[in-house]
Amino acid sequence: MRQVIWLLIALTTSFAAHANQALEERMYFLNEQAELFTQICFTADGTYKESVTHYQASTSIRETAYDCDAQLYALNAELDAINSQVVGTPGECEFAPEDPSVAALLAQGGDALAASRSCTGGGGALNCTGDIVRNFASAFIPSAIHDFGTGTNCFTTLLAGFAYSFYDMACSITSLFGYDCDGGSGDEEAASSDAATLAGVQTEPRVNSFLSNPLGWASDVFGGFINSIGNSIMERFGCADWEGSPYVSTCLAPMSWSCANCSQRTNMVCGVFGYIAGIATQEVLTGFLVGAVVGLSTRAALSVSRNAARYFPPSVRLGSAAVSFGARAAGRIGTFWTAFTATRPIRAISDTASRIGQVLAAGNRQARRIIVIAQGEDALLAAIRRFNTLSEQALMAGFNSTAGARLATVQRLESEATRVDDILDGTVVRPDGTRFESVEDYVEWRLADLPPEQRALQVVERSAGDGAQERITFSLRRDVDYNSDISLPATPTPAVAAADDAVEPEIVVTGTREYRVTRAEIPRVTTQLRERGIDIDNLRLPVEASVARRLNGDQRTLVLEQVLDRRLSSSAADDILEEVRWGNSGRDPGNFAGRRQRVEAALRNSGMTAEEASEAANNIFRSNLLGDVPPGAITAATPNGPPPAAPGLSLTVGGSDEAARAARAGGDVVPTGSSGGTVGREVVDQPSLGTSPEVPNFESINDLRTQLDGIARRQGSTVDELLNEIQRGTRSASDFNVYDDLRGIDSFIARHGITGDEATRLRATFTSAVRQRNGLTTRNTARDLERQRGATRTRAVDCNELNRLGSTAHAFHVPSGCREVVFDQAVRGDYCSCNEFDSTRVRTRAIGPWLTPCASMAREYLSEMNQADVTALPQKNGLNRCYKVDIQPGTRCFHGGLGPTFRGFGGYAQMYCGDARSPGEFNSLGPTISASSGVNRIEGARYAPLFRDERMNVITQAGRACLDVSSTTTCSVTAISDIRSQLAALRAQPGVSAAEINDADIYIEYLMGRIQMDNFGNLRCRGSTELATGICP
Amino acid sequence: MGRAFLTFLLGACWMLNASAAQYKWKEFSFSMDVPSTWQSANDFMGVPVTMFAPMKGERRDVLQVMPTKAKPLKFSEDEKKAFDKNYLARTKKYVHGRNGKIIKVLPANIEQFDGKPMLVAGRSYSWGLRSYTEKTYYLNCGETLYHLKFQGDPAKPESIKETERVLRTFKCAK
Repeated sequence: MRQVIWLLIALTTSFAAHANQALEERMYFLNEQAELFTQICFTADGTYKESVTHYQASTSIRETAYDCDAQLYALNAELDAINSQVVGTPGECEFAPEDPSVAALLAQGGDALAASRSCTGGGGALNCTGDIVRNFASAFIPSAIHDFGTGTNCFTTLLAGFAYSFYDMACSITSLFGYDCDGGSGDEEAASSDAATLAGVQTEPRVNSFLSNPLGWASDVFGGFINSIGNSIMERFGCADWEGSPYVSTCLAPMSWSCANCSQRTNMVCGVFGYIAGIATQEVLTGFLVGAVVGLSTRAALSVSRNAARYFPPSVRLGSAAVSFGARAAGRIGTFWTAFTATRPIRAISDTASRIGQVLAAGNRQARRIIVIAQGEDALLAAIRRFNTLSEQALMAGFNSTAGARLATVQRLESEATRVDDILDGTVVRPDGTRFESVEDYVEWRLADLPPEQRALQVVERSAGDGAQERITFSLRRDVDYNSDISLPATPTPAVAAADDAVEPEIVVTGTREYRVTRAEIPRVTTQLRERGIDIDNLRLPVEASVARRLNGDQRTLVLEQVLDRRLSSSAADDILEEVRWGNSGRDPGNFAGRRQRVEAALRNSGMTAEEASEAANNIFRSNLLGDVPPGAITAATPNGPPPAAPGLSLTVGGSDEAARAARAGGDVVPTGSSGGTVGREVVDQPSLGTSPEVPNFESINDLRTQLDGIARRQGSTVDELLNEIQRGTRSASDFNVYDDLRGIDSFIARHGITGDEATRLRATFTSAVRQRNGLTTRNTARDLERQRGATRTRAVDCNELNRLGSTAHAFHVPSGCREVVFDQAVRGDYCSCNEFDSTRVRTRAIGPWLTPCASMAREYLSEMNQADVTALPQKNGLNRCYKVDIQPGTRCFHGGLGPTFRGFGGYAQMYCGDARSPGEFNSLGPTISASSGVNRIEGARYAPLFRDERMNVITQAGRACLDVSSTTTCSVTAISDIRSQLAALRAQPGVSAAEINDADIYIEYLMGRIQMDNFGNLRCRGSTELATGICP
Repeated sequence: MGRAFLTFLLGACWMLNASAAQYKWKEFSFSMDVPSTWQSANDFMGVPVTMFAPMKGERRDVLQVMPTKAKPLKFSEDEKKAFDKNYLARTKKYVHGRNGKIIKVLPANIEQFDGKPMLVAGRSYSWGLRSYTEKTYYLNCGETLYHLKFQGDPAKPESIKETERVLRTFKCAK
């Protein structure tokens, strides 16, 4: 009840009008969910997994609950509902029979929605709103109607009830103090807190409104809420006639709000509230209360229209095929639908639903219900999470297709699991009334009477908590090989059936993706590790190589889990451990590329995104757990090879041939057993930036980083801090931006008291690293200048003089020399001003005056994090936004040594374009996008996101090409639709980051001219002052 | 002279008491020194008397006065013990039921207020990004148990201090 009150409280601040729900949106949800459904509930060979309920108790039942049967029915019902709208004229208003009444709905039982929130009443169609409110309130606010009678004007009565009857002075207060209380089970502390919270958001005029007309005030609150959702959510929540159990069977007669009779409307309201009260409270309520979410309906309109809009361009991805439609909107929906219903997921759903429906009718399915407890994150769980998120979004948009089924599943699972709070506060007690001392106490009691063989099969999970609702789940385990497939016999095996009969007759629980090191084994393995000098709770990395070599599989796995900060399933751990033997084959970079690729693949299979897997693989190799690694290899090019192209689409992805070759070679290399030498790749850099994604090798630089890491650990510092200190000296205590002059490796060694061999080694590595860096820089510089020859006049200038100017000190790289470059001709699009956007989408640095040759991918720019270069400092997270700019004739720039610099982002050449007039002015001068005109203005700044996920770079590349062919900032329609198709294909690939997809959406809007860049480089929807965060309205 | 002084004294007393407004709800009445910038309402959401502190951003502190039908308390150790246990359990249920987080639950303390015992307890909790601090008071007023309470934003301690000050100007009609 109170949760619903909370919803009302929340809604008092926001009544956004609901957007009209379009058929396209509904199709969008069905399309997305159908595809996920087939991933979740069908095996690879196309077999339906039968009655399987998935969930992962150890993280969140709510997020991971998935009942294949229930969703099958829900999706099938949705399919029918849409079909009736597309194909035939819905006969919405033709039925007018009274009921099925609420009582009839309830009587069917087993339905969590109805059972948890029983609406009473029904009745005629007179004053329907009042009836609904009365019915609603009598279900949720029992005290509401007692004091006010049941006059004809029950709406008024109810409003009064709502406005006045929240806090009741019944005797339950005295129960707070330990006194018996007849008839009072309320909680006045809770009631008054709810009232206070509602009071706390009432503005002065609202309070005045309450004072002058409480009923009017309540009417605003209550009626506003009802009205705000009436035509959308409830319309989809209603069904006049179910084939089987309400909400989970096929709806034979979907009804519209406008045609529904009173009791049907009541059902709709109750259904919606039941759902909201049951599941969506935290998200919806806190969203409202904190103002993070503008409103239920606004939120829905935003996310849905954004997503749905993508589904009706001329071409769209359906199932696994890309389908093109005519350009005309008219008829597109029909064409879409015809194509859609022919896709594999949709056919699978309707065929299976029809087959299963018959079995269900025979009444023998319950006995075969199987709960799969997924252990560890994997691709299956990722699909489930996404499906459930879509369910929520669909509900908010007014389509209940799968949300009701989900709720029922969650409630069923939760009802089978005991809340930890209830154990601890004495709500759950032993039959003799004694309380449990602890959760363990309770578990012990639950398992006490089980025979040992049953006990051994029990899986006890303590959930991480849905909100604060930690639960204990008990389940029986049957080990099956379940690598995202499950193939079950038509009838349970005898062993399972026996277990079934003994404990929970209708449930067989299948253990899947068992952790490599089980919970019970952790203490033992931890002790073993401690004996080897590894404190797993306070892990020092890298693990000493000699120690790492002696670890067994379990020990290694536990350390791996610590490095990865996640549990590993047997299969994931085994895949990774497999690489240990390759590690013993030495430091061959070719071999390493293959090892690395396989580790990343294993990590991706365990549910990581490509980006996470890449980073995690780095961490694992750094930790020494997988044996030797070629020097510098960890942070060199990511040898992923080209990503698989989406079926049906030809993607031109700029993968590195070299990297791909290395990757292939890695798979074929036979370990030779020894190779202590350093067989590094030849240093490669960019002969022509922007076309080659090859990335230089920084092996010495990485060796330096490894050495510094040891020092940093001893001193409680970080490698980055030490690098900073070597390069810049130490910061002045009084001024953060001022450094002392004690730079360089010798000062560093002296200051840190590093002596003997360590000092010698550090000095040698540093010298070697600097030499390597200088070599790269010099070459980069020369190549960039070569590229511009003919357009520029150059003369050598003193880098030291440049470095004395302003706070950009040390930006210019002395060893490779500096040049003044005057552009006699315009240079368009060769240089970029790059930047990192923060989460608020405000750019963090002006466009100009620091320019760098444009690269086509984020990874070509090496930031501190992925390059570990000694000098690349400020961009920790890498660049993600570049603005391609034009350099005007007459612009004077300083080609600043063109290496990784303090002020820059590392990896490539940089130059500063502006006058070096005097110290202090240096930074503020130079061309920028905001300058009014002349050589001080950077013209033609065009926005381009740099994606970290290489698969996504196809978008930027296409966009760049598009911008290059014309001087305007808009693309041709054909180009846009191509890019859009590519994005649609990428969207469907596993592991593509939602944030990057969103960036791509913004980019496409930009290409279309719907998002514009202002003079400061911020992106805004045309005509809007707000920063663009997605597709423009 | 004496009479004039007496008049002055009376006047001064009246002045001192000037802002302590009288409140009445059903048969119960009490006084409280509520600043003029506040609002108050009877029966808001069923709470007998609600005082609304000025809006601070999107929120305002709220103070509630609730004469109850419960019997007066004895302020015994048993009552206090029972209260602590139940208050904690109910707070858990209340906050966790909304998927919120409990920040702190202050155990009951019996202090002297206006020469009589008063039980004071409190709790802080949060949902999402929004946090609440509450203090709850129980005191006898003749044969009536009064429940007083305020709720505020822990991020605005000054405001909470002021609200609590106002609450402590409560005087029930004897």
